[in-house]
Amino acid sequence: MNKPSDKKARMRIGWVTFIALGVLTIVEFFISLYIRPSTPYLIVTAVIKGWLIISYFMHIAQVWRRDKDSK
Amino acid sequence: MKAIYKGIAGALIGFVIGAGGLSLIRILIGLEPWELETGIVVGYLFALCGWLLGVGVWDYWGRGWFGLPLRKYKLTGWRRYFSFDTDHKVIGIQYLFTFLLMMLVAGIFAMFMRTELMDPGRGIMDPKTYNKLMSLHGMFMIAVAITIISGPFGNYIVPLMIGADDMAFPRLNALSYWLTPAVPILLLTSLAFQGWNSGWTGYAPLSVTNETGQVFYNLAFMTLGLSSIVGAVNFLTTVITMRAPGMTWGRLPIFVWSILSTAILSLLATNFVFMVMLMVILDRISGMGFFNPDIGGNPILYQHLFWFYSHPAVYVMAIPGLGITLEVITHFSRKPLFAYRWAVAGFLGIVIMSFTVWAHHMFTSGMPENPLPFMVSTELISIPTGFVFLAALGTIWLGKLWLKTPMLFGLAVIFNFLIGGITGIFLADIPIDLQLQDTFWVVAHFHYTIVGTQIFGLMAAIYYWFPKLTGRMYNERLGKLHFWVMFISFNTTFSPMFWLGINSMNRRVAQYLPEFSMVNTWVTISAFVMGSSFLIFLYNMIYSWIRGSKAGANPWNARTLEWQTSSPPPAHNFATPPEIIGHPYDYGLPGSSHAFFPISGSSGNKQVKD
Amino acid sequence: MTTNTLHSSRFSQLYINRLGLWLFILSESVIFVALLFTRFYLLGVERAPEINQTIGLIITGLLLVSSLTAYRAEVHIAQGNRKAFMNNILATILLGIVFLIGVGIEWSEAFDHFPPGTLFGTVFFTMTGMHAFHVLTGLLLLGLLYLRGTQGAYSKNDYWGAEATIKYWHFVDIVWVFFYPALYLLS
Ligand SMILES: [Cu+2]
Repeated sequence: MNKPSDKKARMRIGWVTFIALGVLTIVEFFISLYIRPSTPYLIVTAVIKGWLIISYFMHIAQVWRRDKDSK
Repeated sequence: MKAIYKGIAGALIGFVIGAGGLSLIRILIGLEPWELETGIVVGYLFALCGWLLGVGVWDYWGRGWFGLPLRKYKLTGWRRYFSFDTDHKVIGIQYLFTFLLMMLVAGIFAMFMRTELMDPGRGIMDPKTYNKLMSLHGMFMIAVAITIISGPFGNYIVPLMIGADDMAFPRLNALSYWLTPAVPILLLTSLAFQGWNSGWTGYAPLSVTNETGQVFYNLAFMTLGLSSIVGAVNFLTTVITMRAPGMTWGRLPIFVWSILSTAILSLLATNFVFMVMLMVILDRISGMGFFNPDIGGNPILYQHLFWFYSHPAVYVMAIPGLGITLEVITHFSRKPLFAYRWAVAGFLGIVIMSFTVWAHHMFTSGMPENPLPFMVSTELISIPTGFVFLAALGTIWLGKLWLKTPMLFGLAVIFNFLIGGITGIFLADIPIDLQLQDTFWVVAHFHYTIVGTQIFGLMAAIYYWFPKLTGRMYNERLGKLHFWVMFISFNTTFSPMFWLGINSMNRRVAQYLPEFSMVNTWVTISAFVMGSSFLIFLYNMIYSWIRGSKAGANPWNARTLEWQTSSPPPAHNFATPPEIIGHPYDYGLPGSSHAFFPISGSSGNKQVKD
Repeated sequence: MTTNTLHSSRFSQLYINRLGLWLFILSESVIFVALLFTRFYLLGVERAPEINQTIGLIITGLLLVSSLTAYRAEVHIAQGNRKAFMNNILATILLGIVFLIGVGIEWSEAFDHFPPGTLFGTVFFTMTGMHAFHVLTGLLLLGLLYLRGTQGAYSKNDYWGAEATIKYWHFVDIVWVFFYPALYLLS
């Protein structure tokens, strides 16, 4: 997993995740301004954001597969 | 002992830093320099860190965080037990001694309570002292009940049973033990600050308006919680990753399953109580109002959060006792564990369902929520419990019972748990609970479930594994004597309390109507007999540890792995790593075998006989 | 941060460490679940209108960026690029500190509008306080990580300490993902 192209791909994943999180945050902000009741929508966006971080920033999938390939 | 002196020094330094730093900040922002409870809380936080660092975290671990070389002490003999030793066997023994001591102290508190209750009026103490003593007895015993099987035997036996050489995180393991001495110390220190009288449940709003001693209870509960979370992480990781080759989930000894279930509960529930204890402290020291109705807070919130932990905690107490019971009953019936899969499903079912029943403790609280679902779920939880129960009965059925002391205690657990369970159904039923709430019926019920399964299970475990822990055999006659005295006096102590409860004698009150005095005298005498049965136990343990006959590796002729190594086991548990090829409980099945040791020196394959 | 070579396990020590960390994070998240429950139990979806939306949005963004820098640090150390790793860790630390300063400003404003003696104040200060405490511990861990980095620790094949700290930092960010709407946006 240490090839340079791999590094590029991983960096791209990081940036895409980051931008998605940013966009969702702004969406949340506007939901709170214009939509009533906002709670159900905010729960959905928060869960999506949490899931993005857990799976792309924290690599939870590592827990399910043995680690040989993830070093 | 050096580790402990360093720990104490660290705690003192930590307290000075914490409390002093706080005073400094308070002066800087223009407040009074010293406020008692804030000082205690912050000082304690730092003192706890100082204690841990001093006792060994710094030398064995913390130096590495700064890139310094670690310091390891090579201690031998009894000194190991007073140090930050990372061997799971040493930690198991440390747990066992600490919590047996706590249990005996709390038992003495109970003796004082019973002495007071000999007299319907004022006996040996005033009612306020009685309530403080009751609280102290309760919280000590809760700490004991949460820890005393999974701490000692979870640590000592589980790695052996799964064929591992230690726990997954040995240093975390030592850390979780060295957190626990703080619990009794805090609880006893509370007496210097008027103690606390709100029982082990510490309900708000009383706990918010109470004397300063209450804070020590809150801090003690938080510390206990921290220790059990660290322990739970360790147990789960160990059982998931450290099993010997061939030890599939379907071959895991039932005791390991029970500890695993307990660990899941501790992991997921404990921080609720941590948080609610913190909320009480915040209400007390910073003028917040979680439980203050004047500003819109709600005392019922306390009960929700508290019981969301403390109901699962009941199973943290009961499941290991049941696990040991199944283990012991199987070995002493000399036949396979009946319905192994159903027993495992029973444990896991209890784990899941115990998160759905918490509000059955709140039927009389005036909560706005509908109580009916909680009544239903509570009664449904008897289904998985029934699986475990039936597995035990099915194993005994037509078995060749070998009535040694551990087996007697195991059988007693079945009996006690039946009574505890059935009387619990009455309490789960809302109309009856409204009558029985806060009476001695409740006292009798939970002593039957917790003492009856946990402490009787503990005794089964101690007698069963005593040869493994010490290499010597206990005295069977004294063991049986202890059993019969304890079993009979336990029943004569607690069964009359059902009657007292139905006749509405209140708990947590030092005085009662004179017509109950006869029964109470009887109960007190029985309680003293039960208390003294532990003297037989202690004598037997101490004498046999020193003078008992040599037990050998496998005195019970049992099949599980912990018996396939010397007693006590060597440093890394097995001379050669074991491999698992069969079910642990196939007693009497011709040609079956649980484990073998592929490379045992020159002698080639050594088959473990049934 | 634990490395034990003693063990005989079919799983690598790295896997064991990871599993332990995830279990710890799972149990730690219960604290925040309890706090969210408290917030809804006591207040429903009510919120103090005086809360400072600008600061809220800014500190949320800061934490988000710090998660990106933490992620980049991990990718770099996995490639053996220590210099970029250290720079990203440093950026994460700075962003974390600025976040805490932002919380401090927010608190001093909140003291005027809804002090801890009010219901929203109680919930607000406890939730942000508990989160800030975790940010603080995360910063201490990152500080240690940086210190060890300057001493030459961590390489392409051995960076568990870095990985663990960074995972913890992401966890702190997740908590804020749920706390930010719960405190600032609900109505
Ligand atoms: Cu319950």
